[in-house]
Amino acid sequence: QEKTISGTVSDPSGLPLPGATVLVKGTKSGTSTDFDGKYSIKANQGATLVFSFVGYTTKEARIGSSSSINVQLSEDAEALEEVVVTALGIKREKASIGSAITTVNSDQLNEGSQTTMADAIKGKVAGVVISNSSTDPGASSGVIIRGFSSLGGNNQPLYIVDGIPINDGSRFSSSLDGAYDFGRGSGDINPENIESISVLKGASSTALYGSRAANGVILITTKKGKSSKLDIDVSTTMIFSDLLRAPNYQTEFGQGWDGQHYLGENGSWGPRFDNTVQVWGNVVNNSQKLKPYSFQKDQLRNFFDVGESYVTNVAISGGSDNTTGRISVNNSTSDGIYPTKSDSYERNTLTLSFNSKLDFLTFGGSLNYVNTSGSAVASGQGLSVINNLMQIPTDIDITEFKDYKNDPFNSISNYYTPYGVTNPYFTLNEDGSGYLKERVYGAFDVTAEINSWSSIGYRFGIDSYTDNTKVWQAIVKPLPGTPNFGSSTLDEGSYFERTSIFKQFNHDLFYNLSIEANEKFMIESTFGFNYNDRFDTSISSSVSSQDIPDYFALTNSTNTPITSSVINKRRLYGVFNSTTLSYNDMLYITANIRNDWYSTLPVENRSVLYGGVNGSWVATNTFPEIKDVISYAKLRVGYGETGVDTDPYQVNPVIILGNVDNQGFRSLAFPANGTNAYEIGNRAANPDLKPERRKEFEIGTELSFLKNRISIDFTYYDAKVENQILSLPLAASSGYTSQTANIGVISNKGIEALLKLGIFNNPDGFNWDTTLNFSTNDAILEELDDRLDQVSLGGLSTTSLVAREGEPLALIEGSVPKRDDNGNIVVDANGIPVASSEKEVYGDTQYDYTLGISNEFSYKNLSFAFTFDIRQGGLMFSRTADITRFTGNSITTTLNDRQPYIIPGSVQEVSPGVYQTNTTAIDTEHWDDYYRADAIARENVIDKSFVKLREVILSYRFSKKIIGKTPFEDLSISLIGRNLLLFTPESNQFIDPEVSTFGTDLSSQFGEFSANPSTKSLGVTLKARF
Amino acid sequence: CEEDLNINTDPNTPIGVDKSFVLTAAQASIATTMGGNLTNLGGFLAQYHTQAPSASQYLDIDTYNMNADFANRMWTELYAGALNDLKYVKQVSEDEGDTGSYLIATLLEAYTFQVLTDLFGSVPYSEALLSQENISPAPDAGEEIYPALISSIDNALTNYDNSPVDSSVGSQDVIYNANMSDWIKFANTLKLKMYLRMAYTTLANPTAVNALLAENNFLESDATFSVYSENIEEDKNNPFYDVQIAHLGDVNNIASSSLLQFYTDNSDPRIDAVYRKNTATPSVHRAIDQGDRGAYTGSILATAFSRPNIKTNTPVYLMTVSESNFLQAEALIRYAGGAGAGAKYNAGVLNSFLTYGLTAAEANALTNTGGAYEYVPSATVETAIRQVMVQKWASLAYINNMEAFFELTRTKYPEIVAFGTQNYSIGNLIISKSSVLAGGQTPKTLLYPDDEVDRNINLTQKGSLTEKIWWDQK
Repeated sequence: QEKTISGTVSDPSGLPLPGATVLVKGTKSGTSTDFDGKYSIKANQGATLVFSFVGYTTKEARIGSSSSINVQLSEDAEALEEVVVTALGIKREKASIGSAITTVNSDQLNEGSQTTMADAIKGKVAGVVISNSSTDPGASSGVIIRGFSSLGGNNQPLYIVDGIPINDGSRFSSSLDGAYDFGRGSGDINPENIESISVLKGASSTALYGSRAANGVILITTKKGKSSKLDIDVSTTMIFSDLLRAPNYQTEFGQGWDGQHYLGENGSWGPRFDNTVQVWGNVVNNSQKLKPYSFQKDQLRNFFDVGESYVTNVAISGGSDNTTGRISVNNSTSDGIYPTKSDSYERNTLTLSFNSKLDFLTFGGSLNYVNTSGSAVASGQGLSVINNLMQIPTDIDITEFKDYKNDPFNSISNYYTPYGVTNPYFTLNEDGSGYLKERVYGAFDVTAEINSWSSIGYRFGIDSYTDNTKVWQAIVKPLPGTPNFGSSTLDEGSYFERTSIFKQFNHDLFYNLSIEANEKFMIESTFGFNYNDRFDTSISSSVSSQDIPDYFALTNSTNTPITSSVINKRRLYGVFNSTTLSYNDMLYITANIRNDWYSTLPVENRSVLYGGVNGSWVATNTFPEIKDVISYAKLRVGYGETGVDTDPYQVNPVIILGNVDNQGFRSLAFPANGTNAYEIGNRAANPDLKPERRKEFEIGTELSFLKNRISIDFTYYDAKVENQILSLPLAASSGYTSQTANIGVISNKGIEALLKLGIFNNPDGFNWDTTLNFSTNDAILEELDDRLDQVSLGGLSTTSLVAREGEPLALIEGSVPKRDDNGNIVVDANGIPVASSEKEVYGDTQYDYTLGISNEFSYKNLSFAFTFDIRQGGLMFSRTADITRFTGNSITTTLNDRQPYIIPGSVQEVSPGVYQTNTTAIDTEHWDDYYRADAIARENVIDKSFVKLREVILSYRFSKKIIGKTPFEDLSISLIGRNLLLFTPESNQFIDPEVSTFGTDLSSQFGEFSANPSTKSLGVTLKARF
Repeated sequence: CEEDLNINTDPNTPIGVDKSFVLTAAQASIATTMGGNLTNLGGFLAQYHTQAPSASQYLDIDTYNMNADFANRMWTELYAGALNDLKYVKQVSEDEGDTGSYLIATLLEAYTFQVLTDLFGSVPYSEALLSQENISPAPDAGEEIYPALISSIDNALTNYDNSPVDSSVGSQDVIYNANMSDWIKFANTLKLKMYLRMAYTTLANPTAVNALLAENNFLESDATFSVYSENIEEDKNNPFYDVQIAHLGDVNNIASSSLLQFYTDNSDPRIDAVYRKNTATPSVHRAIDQGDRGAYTGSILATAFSRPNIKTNTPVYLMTVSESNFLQAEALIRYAGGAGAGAKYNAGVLNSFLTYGLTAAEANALTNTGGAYEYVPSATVETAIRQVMVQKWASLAYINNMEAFFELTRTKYPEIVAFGTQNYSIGNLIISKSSVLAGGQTPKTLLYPDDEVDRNINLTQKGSLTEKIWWDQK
């Protein structure tokens, strides 16, 4: 007897599945679910309904007496049939994609409740390395896809949100005298708004986005409202963080220098601890403090406190049959582990989106308003808090210094040392920085259906922000007559402020065709035109002294502020076509072609044509009979090329305002005393500049076995970037110091492998899934301009980051001991090794491999997951090593128990080229000289391998039975741990090797220059839907 | 579309500029290097100052341990700061027929190359400054650069004589306000200095020197550069003041006994012009032996010692009348039998006092018969020259510290002796007490800067700081 059956089809998380197919088995009768996942169908009792949806396992249900059947479809093991969003926002079955695309959906993305999108995909995408310059609140997360492919410019991917490019510019300073990081543009995207992220890695698929996609594309599709259903989602997260790694200190020797117990010293080169009570610090008002001369355990750790961060998100979505909308607000605040709010961050986002269908027209749009504010504790040398901290001898309790206002011993005038550092609490409280950004970005699109097989569309995107940065240093002036008067610890104070405006407009026009030639052949094609315009301007001003204390302003100084303003403009036009041919759901070929015209290149070289082609073959659709063994098999292969332009104004020479370097510390800045000067800029012209060209071949396979219990996704790629554009450092004797030039070829070869194992799979009982995510990438500078031996990529003057032909990209070079003709180490008159006048390469900075290991256990409503992040190989410079070795605090500074020591087999040079056997032992007085000798600078370069327990999540999802009587439709609670454990090799006794103070791009590979310490954290998150 | 894309001209910089502004920038580059980096370096090597024991910024210099990074900035500022600007000024001047400006730029270029080769020996010259046409200029030997510089000066002088056009740069010439007669005197003095630098080499040229002496048209006013503010102002003061005193806090450079004791023993009033007394009450002059940090352990601050007396707006001196007098005295002794040398010597001391703001009477008191600095004519050239060189050393302090080092390296006066055997009152230097060089060696040159060695495939690093410069042959 026929009756009407109705119900809801939902996904495993309970979300409705619109568009799912419902068929009556054995008939041609069928329907599909609406936007709300609801269906209704007429069928006979006893018949069987078949529910299917691409990307999910098909489920059957027999019609009984009930007229309501709700089904929950489980994801097809590892969602091999999933739909992915490809270039230009086109949705395609994943099977049709011939290049490696990884999609991360909302659930995976938000399970760890990360504040930024980049952190949320960390470890989830093979071949993508996410690096955080620090765990300071609001700091940047960099994303590198398939290694560094550009020596000069940017290696970050292009971010596309709902079809429009989003600025990912960073606001950081890597100044050695005070670095800070206020984050990247992509950090403004609220991860809770994201429906899915597709990571396009290879040039065969990214070509359509033009030059900016040369480093890959991160395609973000935001959540949309659903018809006839009002959802209210609320989530809140609370995370507490603590210091993860402090440098390991020696416990034997205390304050002093040259083996003597001097009370003014900022190092631990004093005598051995005797644990007797002794005076310390300066004599103030005829009194002096007492303390035992003994090791202070957890000295640095005690300075820091517990950081807190909170994220709250509310989203309301719903709609009628033809119009849907969504609104979400998000607030995220954090206060880092430095005491006080000096390291804090707040982000508020408001997002509105709508979609509407009116006859043959479809409209959509979204508008995002983001404001971020923060303050950072500057890192680096000089009077930075971290530098002050690390120059405190191992026997002094740092927390003693806390009261610098009332306790005269702790004032800057009487602080125990006059040697270029001061009370860290003073710096923490009195110096500071502030950042404010207001950003609006959004998109509007309209599509008109011309007929059943073609449509025309237009999409407009805007991204605009204003930001303001302020950085100030307090006046540090010890009073006359006090112990520190006339010492090197002197700072006149300073103030810096910058305001920038950034605007980007993007227009796309499309013509889409979708032609089914016959039942088996299908052609889908998109023709398009793109216009992109970017503009930024900034004005900055700084003044190097302040008159009135506790007030910071450009006007608070007798000095004239130094002001500069910069404008950058660039445009590009592009025309493109993307066509996919498919045959019988088993063979697919996609071809992309694009021509760009860039404003940034010389006129003759500004037009660039490129493209790519990729294909895929789903073998299991060709030979369905093998499905018993191999559940799914797909082979894909692709080749693509992309052109890459450069920054504006790199072609022509310039004349600049006179500004003469004065010993690296200051300059003679014109106009000066009524005289002005202009000089020939130091960047040489390059009228022949050509675009970079990235060429990439990739081959990959997706396989699954034993009913999808084992699945493998494997890709091998071989990419080359020719005509590398680099701001090439020139020998000054050429009259110039740089030229933006095409200087060589970089190759990146690597593999990305993802192995998923469903070890236990029992929907109603215990489940255990393991995922291994492995990748390697070898970046080699294959060719370098004949005129050069190597190029410098940054670093310091003593130890630097360089690239050499035929060698891995980014090598660290530094001083080595001088040797005589017999290979003996040459030492100086004090027995300390002499540095060779020529530097040598220590090794490369690349990871040999990265491996993520995730395990997820679940039993009914309880789940437990943890992820280890393993990165092996590579070197980095560490100033934390350098400074703690300089001060004798480091555990590595007790060679020979600091007893006299003759470097084995050493010689002395008594006149040029004449050597004799060395008999001079390094004595107590000179051990400190040994640890800071250029000749042993190699010791400050450490192995950056690590194993981190990246994430631990324990979740409980309340069952429908419990929440059935409550207003909640869904409710879950999770405990989250991040970076709880860190293991590093023996050579690293200093720091979390993930930190960098040189940004998040290639230059960050150099290492860190007294970075702030990283954190581990623990928290709880609550998610509810009404 | 094409029009729309023509937006790649940098709106942040001017499209063109008058050469006079560029000349100022070139002079500023030379002055900042001479008055900053080289005043500091030369001050250690000529033993005017030493590293304060309570700080360590310049320990590398005082321990004779300067590494290959040491010279990066001065090298870059001289080549890519000064010389490329001067090349532009020369080109434009030539195009405009401005023989006066051409001469000025040529002289500054010769001055700069001379400093470079005196510091480093072989340096890029003939292949230098060609931008992308040659990004790895091969070095030329100093023996070839000196004659080439002299002939470039002669050539510019001839051009000017043939078609005298007063330089159009006016007051943008911070040194001589475009006064051509001053610049011609500068030319002759510079040439004399270069000829004498070659005195101990096979390139010594008595004929040329005698011709210059016969022409007798040398510096009559000090060649100084100053656009410096009297107020303490970052980036606007004398370069040594701005960095060593203001930025680094005046804690590193303290008086060396070598010079301070010389002044004291000879009751030379220049002591108060060259040094500030310490901050003790009452304040006195106090110095330490060069590099003697070991004797001052604990936290004795730089304020306990005399420190260089450079002020916010102290000019940078490129050449002085006093230096010119001493050069002439040396030339007369060497190549003209010494007649008139005493007068030039006295004038040298006198003009030194005047440059320091002291009086003629104070100078004369020392040079007059029976005075500590009385010139004693001698039949032995070296004996006569020693007097000139010691006075020249005592008169170049914070005027041109680097020149003092070049001259003592060339002539070996004042002598550098082992500590304990020195006699500061007659003018002696010691081997720095914190030297790390074995066997009593002292530095003679600088290593090539790493930046240049890394980028210029035709330049090979030298072995050590103790390799001699080509003119160091005595």
